[in-house]
Amino acid sequence: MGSGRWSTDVYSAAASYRAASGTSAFAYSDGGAREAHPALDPHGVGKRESRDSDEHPLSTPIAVLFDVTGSMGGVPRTLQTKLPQLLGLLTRKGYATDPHILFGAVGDATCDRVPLQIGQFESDNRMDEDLARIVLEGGGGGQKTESYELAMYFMARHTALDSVVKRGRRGYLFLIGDEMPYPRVSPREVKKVIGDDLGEPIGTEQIIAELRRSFDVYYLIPAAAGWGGDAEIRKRWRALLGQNVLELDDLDAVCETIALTVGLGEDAIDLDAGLADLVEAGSAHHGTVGKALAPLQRGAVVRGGALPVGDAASGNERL
Amino acid sequence: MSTFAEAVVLIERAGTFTELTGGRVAEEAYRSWVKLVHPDAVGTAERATATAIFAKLSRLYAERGATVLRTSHGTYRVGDLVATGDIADLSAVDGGWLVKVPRSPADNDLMAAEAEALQRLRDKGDPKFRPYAPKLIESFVHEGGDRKRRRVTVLERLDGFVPLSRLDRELDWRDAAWMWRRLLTGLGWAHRAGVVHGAVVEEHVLIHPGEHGLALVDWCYSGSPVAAVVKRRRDAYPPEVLKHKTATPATDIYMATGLMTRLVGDGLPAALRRFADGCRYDAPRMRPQDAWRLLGELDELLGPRKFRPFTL
Repeated sequence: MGSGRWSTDVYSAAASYRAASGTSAFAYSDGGAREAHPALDPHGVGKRESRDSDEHPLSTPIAVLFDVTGSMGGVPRTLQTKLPQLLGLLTRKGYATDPHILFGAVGDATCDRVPLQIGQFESDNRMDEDLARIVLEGGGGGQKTESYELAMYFMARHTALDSVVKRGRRGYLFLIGDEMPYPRVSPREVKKVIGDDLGEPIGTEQIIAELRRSFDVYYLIPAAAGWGGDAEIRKRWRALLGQNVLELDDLDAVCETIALTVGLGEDAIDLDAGLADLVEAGSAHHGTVGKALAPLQRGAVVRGGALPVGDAASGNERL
Repeated sequence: MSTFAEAVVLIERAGTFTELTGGRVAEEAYRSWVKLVHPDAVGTAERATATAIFAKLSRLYAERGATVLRTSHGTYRVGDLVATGDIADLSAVDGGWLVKVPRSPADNDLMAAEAEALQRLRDKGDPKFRPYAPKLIESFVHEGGDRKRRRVTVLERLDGFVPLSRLDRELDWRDAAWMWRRLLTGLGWAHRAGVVHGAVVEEHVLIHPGEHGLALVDWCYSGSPVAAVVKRRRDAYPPEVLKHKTATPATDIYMATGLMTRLVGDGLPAALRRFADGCRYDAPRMRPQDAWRLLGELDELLGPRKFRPFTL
């Protein structure tokens, strides 16, 4: 997956069609669906792939998974209308080369019918179709935990990214939600939702360590969500992800926040230049974004000087 | 460039000498810059600036052609290739250090694992045993013109050490004894710092023959779940690594024992053979868990120690 060209025309057509027919952007969910759309069902999936192609020789994989349980209130619907802007923003600003974007949703595997939905890495309007197919759960327990660890397990073990293998550049994974992960990945849930046989549970810290080999992982907490201001939840994610926990005061700024985070990670911009870009682009969100991203200023990548790279064959075998 | 002030700006901005040649031969370009910025060629008021700028010009000129890596911590002038490992090449840099560059960017995770392990040994390990692993000087990400990012580490160079893979004969068990003892010491130290080496094989154990020194290198395979194994030493791994991708202190003990028995071969006395068998069960829980306690058992078996000079 991951080929095709974003065509503004096609997206406008899809949006205007929805407007014209009066159906919600979440038509699949609102149509009464109670199981994951086949295109987003993680069960039995080998790998979600982000591959380089002639059209996109330098792919940058970006995955955005958001919590669709009841505690999030109206947040998922807002995200659904905002996130389609992400690809255009990244492309226009040159924050990342050849973005491949995957959308997905996280629920609660202990009680939801659709605890995990994962689209494909797409580079055209098909990502919008994936968004429209997401089933909104509205369930979830009242215990401040959702199955993020299950989503992270999937992203760690069921993705194949050319950018990592060929260029040593990790992808970007954004989790948007307001609750904590369970402390470990449950073999029973993995079997039921994804289909893998796990011998024993995997600690959440351990699966994050594994996930970070291929992704920079960020957690975005929208202030508008039910548990948005909860200190225990923030503390737990900080312990897991450190400075990569971002608080989002204004949900409308979600695309800008993600785009700038990617730009900072790609070393395409520094924060000040990025915020200036936003002002120039007419975005009203530079304040919110600047506040959210302040902790992410980091040491620059070393450039210049051709490294002495040998050509001996690899002496290791990946397990 | 025609004035001193312009020359200062250009030289200050330059990262390599190439940026200052303007298409000319290097020597010719250098001479023309010297005429402009040499401290003797300027007035007293400009002498301090000229001295600094001339120093930079001379450095850039001296470094032309060589790969120079500038990080926020230091500048490394990359010299000759020293060694080729499983995934990376090691080249000498000034200051008695080595720069380790992975051949494939896909192995960045292993490079990061090594940097993390060495840092942890430094932070959490007993400082008394630091000679058992090379010192990490720096770890950084380098991006080349091809947009490939590589995790590069700068390490202390261990002079006078040779890897056990370089031995071309079977060892007398009495020579193996000190290596075995030191190997267990180094592993026990790492395990107490919370680090498992994960690939205790001939290539990763260096010895200093004269001083009876030993150092464990290439910590790329530390960390759990285990991401990769050394292909040519696949047979040396215990089942839990290949089947479940897990590694514990008992994994290192299994591999260290296997390594020592391979080095000695048929000459291993029966008592040591039994000792080794008792460290090599398939089930990790049945093996010894604590390398330092095991060292105590080994010492009892070996009896009083006597120094035996060792040469390669």
